[in-house]
Amino acid sequence: MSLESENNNYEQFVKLFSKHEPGLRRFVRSLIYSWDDVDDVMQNTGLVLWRKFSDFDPETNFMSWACVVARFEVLTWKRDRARDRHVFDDDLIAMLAEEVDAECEKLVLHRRALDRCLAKLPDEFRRVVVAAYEPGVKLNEVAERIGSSATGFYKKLRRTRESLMACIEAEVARQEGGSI
Amino acid sequence: MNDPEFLTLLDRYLNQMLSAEEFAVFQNELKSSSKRRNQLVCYSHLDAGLMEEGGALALEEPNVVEIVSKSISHSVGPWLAVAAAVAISALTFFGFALHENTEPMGHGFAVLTRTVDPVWKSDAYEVGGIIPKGSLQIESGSLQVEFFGGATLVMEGPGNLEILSASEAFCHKGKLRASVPPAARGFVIDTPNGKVVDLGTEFGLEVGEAGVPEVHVFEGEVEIHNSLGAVQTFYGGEAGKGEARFPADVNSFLSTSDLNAEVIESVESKFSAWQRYSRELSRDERLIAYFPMGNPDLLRRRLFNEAPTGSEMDGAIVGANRVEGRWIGVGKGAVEFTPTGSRVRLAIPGEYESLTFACWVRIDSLDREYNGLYLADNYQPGECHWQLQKDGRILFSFLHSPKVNFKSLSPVVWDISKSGRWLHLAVTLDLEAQKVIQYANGEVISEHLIDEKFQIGKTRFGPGELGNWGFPSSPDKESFAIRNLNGRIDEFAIFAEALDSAEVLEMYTIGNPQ
Repeated sequence: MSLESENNNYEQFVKLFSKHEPGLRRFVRSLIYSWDDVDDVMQNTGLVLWRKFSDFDPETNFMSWACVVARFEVLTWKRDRARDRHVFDDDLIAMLAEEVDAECEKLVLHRRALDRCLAKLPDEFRRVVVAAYEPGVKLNEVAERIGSSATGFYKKLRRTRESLMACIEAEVARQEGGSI
Repeated sequence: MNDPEFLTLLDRYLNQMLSAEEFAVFQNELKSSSKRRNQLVCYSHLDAGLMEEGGALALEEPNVVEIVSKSISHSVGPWLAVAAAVAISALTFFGFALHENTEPMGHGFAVLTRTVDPVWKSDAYEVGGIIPKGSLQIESGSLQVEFFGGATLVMEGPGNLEILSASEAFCHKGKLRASVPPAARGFVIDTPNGKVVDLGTEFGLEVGEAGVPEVHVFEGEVEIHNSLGAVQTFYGGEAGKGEARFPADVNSFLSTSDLNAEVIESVESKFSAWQRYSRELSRDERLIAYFPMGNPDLLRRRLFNEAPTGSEMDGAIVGANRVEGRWIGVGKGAVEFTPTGSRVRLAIPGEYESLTFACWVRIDSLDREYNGLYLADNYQPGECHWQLQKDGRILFSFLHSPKVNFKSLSPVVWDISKSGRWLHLAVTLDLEAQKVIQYANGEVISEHLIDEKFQIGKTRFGPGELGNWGFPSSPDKESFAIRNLNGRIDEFAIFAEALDSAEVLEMYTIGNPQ
């Protein structure tokens, strides 16, 4: 391969990968318990995707191809973690991957609706999201810092997620209804 | 396993708090039910989505830093402790970003300027609110939208309009009238069967179940571009639908002036309902002072107390302007405190066992660190301050004894997006229950028990003022703090009792101009 075509290739890869990275991360998150492990798997998946990029047929869907690779990476990662008891077994991982695949369109709508729901979120819940999901912050550390009211914080976090999910579902249902 | 049990496990899963045993139970449950797997997938995606947005949200959080620098009294709910913890981490993590990105930003493409009895199917918007990209859907009623590009649309319900940009919208269904001045030429309304491109004019558009646009041009010129690229042109007086042609019917579309007439009618009926309520209220023996500001009284500098306590409690307007109140076009007054020296002076004698403040306020901006609603001049023990902080929270406080200050701080009730809109605020100080409750638009927004060390037996007012604070108290002390409210106060009531939440809600509901 000439240097020029390799550069072109690389540019194309970066474009596709950065476009689909968040979606891929959401997929991996559905299979793995801990965020740290999600980050590890994502890193490996990125490397493998680049290494195998010449196999990728540009006529086909990058996301489905990347999900296949990521799923394989999850299984590889899992093999090294045989003793960790917070890991789903292979059957369940396969079932969950299928679930994501089957619901793929709905999940994209969910993600879009999340932006709208966050914009509408009352301040008290918004602050919970900021506290729990600020980059680089670990949930247990946040709770520790809060001290005695940690239980209250976890309760509020649960209510926040549930009300966001309810909003997302209503939002998606309305869009589906509205487009008829 | 029932739903709540599973959701509890799922929540603990997302927080990474499951024990090994719980994890095993969780895994079995997932394997046995596709519904559970779907729930896990949806919530994991939500979790990841929040992870993507968390950083951006932290940056938007207004003035979190300020909370840290202030001491927080014990009576303030535990939530502030969380906010403070968050603020510390936000500060250390984002460093300078919090200070650099201070220019306020708006989001959206149009402003909702009039509504008549709208029944919303999409998110509801308030008059004066900025409308973002997305659906504007009503079952009935009508509304007027002004696009930033300059076009004005009147929509009659049922209708479904999707805002696409400052000069484009998609009409899924409904009846619209567009008025497009030259500055807005090129305004486009998409329909399921073709685009309507305006060349500077006034026209009506109806999209029925079949999605075929019916266009009536009242003035100027309009083009319809169908999906195949064909263009039909209509001139003033012409109308058409598909291949059919007929004369335009100007009366079948609600115009901006029709809407104005409807708005005035609806305002008048709401206003007269409030007038009846207000007359009734002014006989309430619990009132210490009541300023309904029923007439504009543009030149008078005295603010009439309509409560049974009479003219002794009249307010003196200083520097402030008498302006139009929260109902447009009915001759209702308000007081505007925009010039920095503005205030309404009050002198209220006596001691009271409880109190309620309630008012309608239109905040144009919060320019000062503290923006006054009612403040006692000298802030002696037992006296109160009710004001808005720059960060949009309401601070109600009283002095227990020298330097021992009780504070009740509400959540944020105002940000720049609410500029120019009317808001009903109230606070009750109940010295029997030793409790402070704050309300916004009839709803409880905060409730604080008064810790023993702050408890007082009586409250008092003395000299004080509405809309500002800072009184040059002696001839050699002419400097004073500036806490004038950049905005208007319309209807201000002070009661010698703590109203209950139903009464506050009633004041809001009947007094609501929208």
